[in-house]
Amino acid sequence: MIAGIGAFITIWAALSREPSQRGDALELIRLTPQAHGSDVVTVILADFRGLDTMVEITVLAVAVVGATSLLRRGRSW
Amino acid sequence: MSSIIGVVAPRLLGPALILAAAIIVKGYADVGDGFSAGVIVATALALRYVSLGWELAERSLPVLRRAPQVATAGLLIALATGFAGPLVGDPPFTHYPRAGESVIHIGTLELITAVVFDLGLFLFVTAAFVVLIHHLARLAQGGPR
Repeated sequence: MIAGIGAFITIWAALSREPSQRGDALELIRLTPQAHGSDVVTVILADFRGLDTMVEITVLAVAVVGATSLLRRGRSW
Repeated sequence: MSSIIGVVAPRLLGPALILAAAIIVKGYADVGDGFSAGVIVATALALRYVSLGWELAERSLPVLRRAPQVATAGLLIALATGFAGPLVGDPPFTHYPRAGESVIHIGTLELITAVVFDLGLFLFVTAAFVVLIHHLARLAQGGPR
């Protein structure tokens, strides 16, 4: 009971604090039209953080190669 | 297997392709990008594999046999658009035309390198999932070769 109340008060206090510094989000939203786009999520994925997406699909490629080599002894098809 | 899947699966590919094209074209103006479009098409193809079996699915759609090449091509397209920048002295994943410059419009689609990157992403995601489904289906369903 005491632990629950304590956790409640801690979370309440943390959530009701005004964040002292703003993150990058507003800056990204402001820059979105300059990337010739209007949807901020797509622009972040394909443009601002394109390298991140690139490495993401590289991970996917490695996973597929790993899975196929496990499943069918390295035959690509 | 449910007979509903048997009826729906072969007819779902067309609508899925249209939906994927719409998501890529409007992606830069609205929610959606190459990754989600690829997942949609791959799901429709997976349903075909489930309902028809891998042999019939690939005989009725022979382009599926080119999936490893398509995946490689998609990855190379994404790499090429991403790392064209360093070749001319710009940071990686610089988009051309630059911010503020005029862009060629085809309807709502704007011809910028980020859209090409998205297309490469779409090709890779679709084909990679097809390769996985193919191998899993061959393990599960057996068959010649």
